[in-house]
Amino acid sequence: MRRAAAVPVALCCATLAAQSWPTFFSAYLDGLDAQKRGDHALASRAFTRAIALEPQPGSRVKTYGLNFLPRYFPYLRLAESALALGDLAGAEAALDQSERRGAEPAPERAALRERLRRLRQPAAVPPAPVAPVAPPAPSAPAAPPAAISVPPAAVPVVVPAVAPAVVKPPHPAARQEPRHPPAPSPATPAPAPAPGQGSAPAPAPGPAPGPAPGRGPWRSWMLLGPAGLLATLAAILRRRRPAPAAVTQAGTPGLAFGPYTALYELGRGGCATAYFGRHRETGAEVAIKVPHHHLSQDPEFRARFRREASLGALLDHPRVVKILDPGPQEGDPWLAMAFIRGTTLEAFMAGKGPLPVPQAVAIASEIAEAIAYAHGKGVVHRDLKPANVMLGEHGAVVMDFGIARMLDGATATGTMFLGTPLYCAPEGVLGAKVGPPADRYALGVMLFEMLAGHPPFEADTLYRIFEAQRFDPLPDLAGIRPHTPPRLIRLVERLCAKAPEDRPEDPETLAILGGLRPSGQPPAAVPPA
Amino acid sequence: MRKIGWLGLAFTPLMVQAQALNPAQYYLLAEQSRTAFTVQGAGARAIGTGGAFIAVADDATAVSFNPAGLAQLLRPEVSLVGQGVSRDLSLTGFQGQPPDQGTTFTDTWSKNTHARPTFASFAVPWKRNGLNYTFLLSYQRLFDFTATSAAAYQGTASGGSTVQNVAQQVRQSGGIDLYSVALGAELSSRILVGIALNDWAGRSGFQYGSTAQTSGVGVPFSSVLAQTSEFRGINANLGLIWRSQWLNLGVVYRTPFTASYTFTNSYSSVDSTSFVPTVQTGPQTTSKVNWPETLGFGFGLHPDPRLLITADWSHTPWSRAHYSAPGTPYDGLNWFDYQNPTATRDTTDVHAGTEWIAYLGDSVVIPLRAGAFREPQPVVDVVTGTQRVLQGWTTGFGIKFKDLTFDLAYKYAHDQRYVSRYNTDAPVGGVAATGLGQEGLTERSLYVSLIYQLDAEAVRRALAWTFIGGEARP
Repeated sequence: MRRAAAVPVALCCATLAAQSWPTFFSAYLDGLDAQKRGDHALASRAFTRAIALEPQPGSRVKTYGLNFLPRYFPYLRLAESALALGDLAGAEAALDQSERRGAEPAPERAALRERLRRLRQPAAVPPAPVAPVAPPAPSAPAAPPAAISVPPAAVPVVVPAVAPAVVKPPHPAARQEPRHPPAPSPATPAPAPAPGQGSAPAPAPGPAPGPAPGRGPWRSWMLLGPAGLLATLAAILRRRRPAPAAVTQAGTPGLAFGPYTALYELGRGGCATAYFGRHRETGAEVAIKVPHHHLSQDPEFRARFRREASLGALLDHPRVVKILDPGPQEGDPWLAMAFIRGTTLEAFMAGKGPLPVPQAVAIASEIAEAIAYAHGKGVVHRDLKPANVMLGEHGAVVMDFGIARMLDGATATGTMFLGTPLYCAPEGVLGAKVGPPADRYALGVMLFEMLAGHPPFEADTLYRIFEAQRFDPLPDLAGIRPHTPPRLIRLVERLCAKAPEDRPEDPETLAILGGLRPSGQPPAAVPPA
Repeated sequence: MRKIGWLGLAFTPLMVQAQALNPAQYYLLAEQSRTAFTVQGAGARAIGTGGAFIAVADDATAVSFNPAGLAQLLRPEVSLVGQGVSRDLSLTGFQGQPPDQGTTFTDTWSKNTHARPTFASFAVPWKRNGLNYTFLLSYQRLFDFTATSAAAYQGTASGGSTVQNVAQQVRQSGGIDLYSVALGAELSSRILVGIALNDWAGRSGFQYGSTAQTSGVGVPFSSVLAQTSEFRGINANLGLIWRSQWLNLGVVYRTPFTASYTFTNSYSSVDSTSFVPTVQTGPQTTSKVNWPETLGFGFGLHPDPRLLITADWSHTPWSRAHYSAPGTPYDGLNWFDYQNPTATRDTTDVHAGTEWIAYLGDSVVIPLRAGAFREPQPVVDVVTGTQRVLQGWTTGFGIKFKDLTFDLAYKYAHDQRYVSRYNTDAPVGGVAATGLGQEGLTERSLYVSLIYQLDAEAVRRALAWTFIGGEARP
């Protein structure tokens, strides 16, 4: 009897405990902390939660006891984080709300609107043949490297979705001469394919479907009419272009990181910069990831970065990008990881629509191998998404175990739409401790996306996506993609279960995917460009 | 009917020598030594709102009202509370009752003041999975017995004609302290729970001095009855708070428990005829005392974020407070009145108050408070059957400047009732004088609280350095 009673009690407690940020001020203060750390994804979640609990902003807002918040401006803070994440639609929505509520300072709102306007401006006009900020459109001549220097104000938009962790191979030209990356000749009539997109078809000019057609922000921009259309077009073009600023911009040649020398910058995000480098003695190619200075100075971040990097370095599996050197235990942190030539799954899927079932199964199976191995070692990725999966000549490999979440700001910065939240498990949305099931959920979402051509939950704002992750049923994959094996559909549904305990364990996932994979099928290899 | 009391049992040698004490004496002693039995928390903020804090409980003093409230704390807090009490006891209009109608009682007024720290705590909140938890260590002086009083009368010893002038003094000290470890947890937006484990440690002293000057006798008869007692037990306070933007509801349940109770006494006197001083010490006796539970409810209403209206209701079945000593005559007797069945009343306290907050700039908060209360006491007068019921009002204010909060509260409590007085020297030759009259008790208390909010990160690092070593874990 006691045991029987304990079950509902435990379930009740678990349900109650699953709630996160029970008070608006707790959420708001955590959001401020996250913003301070540069974790804008977390900050957005926290501010969204704060708004849900206390939508009215104001000054001197009482919290508990005799404590109060001198300034409770959640909409402005949310807009800031949305801007940092590149969620311009979300930022605009937050600013609109701020204006409607009226209690937040107008000058600050105006400044954010101006920042939003500046960020949108490049996207709203066709790129100039030699644009100081935007890279050339696919049909336009490429700009010389000197012209690609990025003004600081444009960094969040122009720096492409090249997370330091997502070490896309450099531009072909850059790869040939990494120390002095020559830009494509202005006379080059056709654009070079995106790095890592060698097998992807070259984007057609005009309003071709973007990498993620139908995603929230794109949709909302389209609703804005011609300007929105132009913005969408420009954004699509930016999404499909090579990563010019990251690849062709000369980095910090000769900068030493332990036994490695950074040769040029691969990408710069909100939290870290990634360099292409080589081992000084062996010449081995590496990607060096260096957290930004303001984070490096935070002892907490430093300790966590080292710990996660050291944990990641313990992983040695063909499906996991090897962390070769977790970096020094003292001083400014960095890490060196194997340099993988290929493309990210995100880039691979861009514009492709649904992948063939065997290919999706193969990729998913290889990702499942990686996470099963890591989970067996006690390491959880926590931010699994297509941008963290590299498709190389030996198939899919997963990057950034452990550290991805820390550098989420980096991976999200520059993306024109929501990155991580699309793959975030419901328990992650709630702020609860995420474990292996969260990785399985992300795998399920990715598998859905590969099969359906788009992620299951899309929306205009972070908040709506988070809500969808928590409450919306998974769209009917059988209806979207008829003739998909029912067993595969069932697997996706189980992987995307809202409750972590309802998701299949790794061995079962592997077994199902293995059973769906034709015998003798080669790895989901994507030959490098 | 078994009327031999605890005191008498402990005082067996004396009883053998003299007559058995009249039960009224025990009641009287018990009443005088157990005057302050309102189970209540500490803190000037709470007192300022009439002592109503069960549903609010949102600072470090929460543990003493409702440990669930601790989960609301977001920053580590250190708190100190001090209390100063001025106690006035008046005994007026007493008249002798049969067979002591001839006794003349003198109106007396006793006043005593004392001050002492009554609460200290250290609370450390932390977050896990987005939910808040708070761990707390605290000390609280729950009951303070410190008091003195005096009485005087003139009468004739039973069966005689000699007039005696009697002066009595009661001096009490000690109290019952609680050492608590508590945990508050935020389960959801609505639900907070908490538990506090309390180690009750009590020690009290009681001296009843009497001097009887008989007409024509050069040397007065004087006696001192001295008692000491120790009290030790463990219980838990379980708390629950349901909260919303406008309304908080709180429940606290203080579990019953069994305490060990050790009692010693002595009686010293100087015989007025032989002039021989005598000191008799009773044996140390150890027993168990079953302490009853207390159940409290409260609500806190926020019609406006700056305004709080709150009220509490607490019930303690004191009639169940009894000795547990199988095989002894006092097994099952009530702790307050030594009667079986007991005359001790169950008590229901009511507290209500309000707080209004004003802001000065971005760093100063000034709360203003007022409240009222009604606190019946368990002991009733053995002759008149009246119960002491303290009623009164409170007021207070505070200043919160950045991380430091200073609160001040004033509490006025008063009771007037018709009671009896009894001369405990009667069994050993004194005047057996019973009188009835008015007792007026007025307590004026001043509470001061200091709460300092510490930097969470610094505390976390200090704790990590202390208990883990090396670099603090995130």
